[in-house]
Amino acid sequence: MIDIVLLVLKIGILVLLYLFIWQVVKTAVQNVRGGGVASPAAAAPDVVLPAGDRLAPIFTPAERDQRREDREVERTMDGQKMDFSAHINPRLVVEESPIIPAGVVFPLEGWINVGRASTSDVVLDEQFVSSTHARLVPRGQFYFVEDLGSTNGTFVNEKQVTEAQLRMDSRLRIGETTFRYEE
Amino acid sequence: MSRRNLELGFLVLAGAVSTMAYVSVYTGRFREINRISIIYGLVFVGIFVLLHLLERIFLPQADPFLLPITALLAAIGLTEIFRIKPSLALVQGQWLLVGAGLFVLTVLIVRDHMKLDRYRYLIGAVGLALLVATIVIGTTINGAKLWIHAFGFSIQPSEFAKLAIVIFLAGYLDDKKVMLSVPQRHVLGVPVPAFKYFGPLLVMWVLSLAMLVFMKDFGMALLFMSIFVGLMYMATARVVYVVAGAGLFAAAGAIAVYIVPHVQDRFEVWLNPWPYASTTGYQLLQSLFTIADGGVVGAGFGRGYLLFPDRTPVVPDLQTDFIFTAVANEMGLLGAAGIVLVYLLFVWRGFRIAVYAPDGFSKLLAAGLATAFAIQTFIIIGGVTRLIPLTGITLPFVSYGGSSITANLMLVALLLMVSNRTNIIRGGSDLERRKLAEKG
Repeated sequence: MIDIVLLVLKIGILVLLYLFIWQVVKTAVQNVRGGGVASPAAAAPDVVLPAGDRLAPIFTPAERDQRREDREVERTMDGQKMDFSAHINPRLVVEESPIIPAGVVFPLEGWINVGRASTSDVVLDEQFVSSTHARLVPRGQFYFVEDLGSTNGTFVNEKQVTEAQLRMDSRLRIGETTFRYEE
Repeated sequence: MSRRNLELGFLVLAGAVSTMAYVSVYTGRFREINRISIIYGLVFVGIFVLLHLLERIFLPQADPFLLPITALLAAIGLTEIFRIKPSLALVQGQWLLVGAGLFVLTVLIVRDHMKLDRYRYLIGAVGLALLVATIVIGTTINGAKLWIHAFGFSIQPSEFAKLAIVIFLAGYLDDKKVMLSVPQRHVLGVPVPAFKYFGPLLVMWVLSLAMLVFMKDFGMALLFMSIFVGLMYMATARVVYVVAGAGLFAAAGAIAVYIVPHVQDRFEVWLNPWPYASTTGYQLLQSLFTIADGGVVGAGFGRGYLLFPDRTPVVPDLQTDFIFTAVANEMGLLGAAGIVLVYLLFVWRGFRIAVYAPDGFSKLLAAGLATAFAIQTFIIIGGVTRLIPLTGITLPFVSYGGSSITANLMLVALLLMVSNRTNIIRGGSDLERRKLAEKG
């Protein structure tokens, strides 16, 4: 009886020891993927889009222009176009960065790729930035940031996001560089 | 899951291993299953849960893995010491409490490790004084002069000096790294920076050599030299310092082999222990036999052949320098490899904290502490398995020894402080940031 107990204990200790090692590695690696922040806030993205919305349906160029006009262009009472984006000048201002001086302005137009790769529109040659880290995408009058599966994550107002709308004065952090979004 | 809840979960797992190990030793010895053996596990976990609660208040965002790893190693160590000599386990348990107390004091007094940078010369001087004191008034045990007898205790000041030297070097090198990485002249192809920046480092180098000659201890000299060379490399990114440092140390080591008989013995035994099987090589050979006796899965805690019938250990110093031999015997190849993996996890967390730290001092401090821990573990495990010449140094958290466990618990406290600060800066709540700012 005693010998059986001792045998069970012997095997149990080895199993638990390796379980401990395995769990530490597993949890720690998950934390790296999640940007090293294990707080509940990090898990919830700012904006959750329905799954179907991620892939845009295919339209002919004419249909696409029409849809964009329907969506973006409000019309006054007499049917004239009202362009709300006329006075909007979206831009990113560097607040804090080890490589770019604070105050440098990146005007935003169209899709903007951010990453360590030299082909990016905004090149951030830093240790914690992936080569294609994130992109800024205009939707209507608004700019959205989308994380492109980066290793260390994209943060809007210090919350990790996979996709989020940038609002006036949002703080966008990629690696060790923080931008302020202005319109 | 938050960092602290994660930590608590892992502590429970470490506690389960510790309880099972103790129950196994107790049952193996007295041939009965007793409630007392389970209470031991609860008391042990209780100490670490108290440290965990302290972290909840003062270090809310610190790394969640270091404390459970420490607990697991300390549990294995304490159980193995109880297995070898129960009266020593009681002493070691008291040292663990003292170490936990110093951990608490370190966290409460230092609060923010950035403060240490301001006192770097004072801390460096204390470290130096500890080493010099050991050389001057130290006592020689087993051929190495590493202990000071004071107030009825024998303490090993080099364990604490290790921490002081890392703090000093981290602050000094962070300050002067630009000067050191842009050398002004070359001597034999080795770039030499201006003397005024290099001077304190020269003192460090001479000190490690003095330790080799006067303390007759190869292990501690190698440890200090590695900390020094490692930090130099991490601060300046110049491989030439590593090559030069290793070369100088190898040269000094070669000379020591000829002029210090104690080091010479160790070296010859390492190359070929068989001619000395009944004299200087006895300890190492007994260690190798005991490790081999463990087999793949080991004899089980409390069931290995670790004691002669008269209750003296089969390997002299089994509970201190050769504790890894005892662990390998009772847990087998799988268990011993698992323990090495656990040490690897600790070092990995240490370097990860360094990589993510936002400033140079924190980076060098964490990297230096992780290096010291890794090298110390390597020296002793390598020594008892005859990979490198054997030198008496403790296996962190596992070996019997008060200085070792208290100093290494302080090392953990420092690493936790660095990671707490890093994680708050990189994404803590506003309240946590404000608390951090108030501390500085």
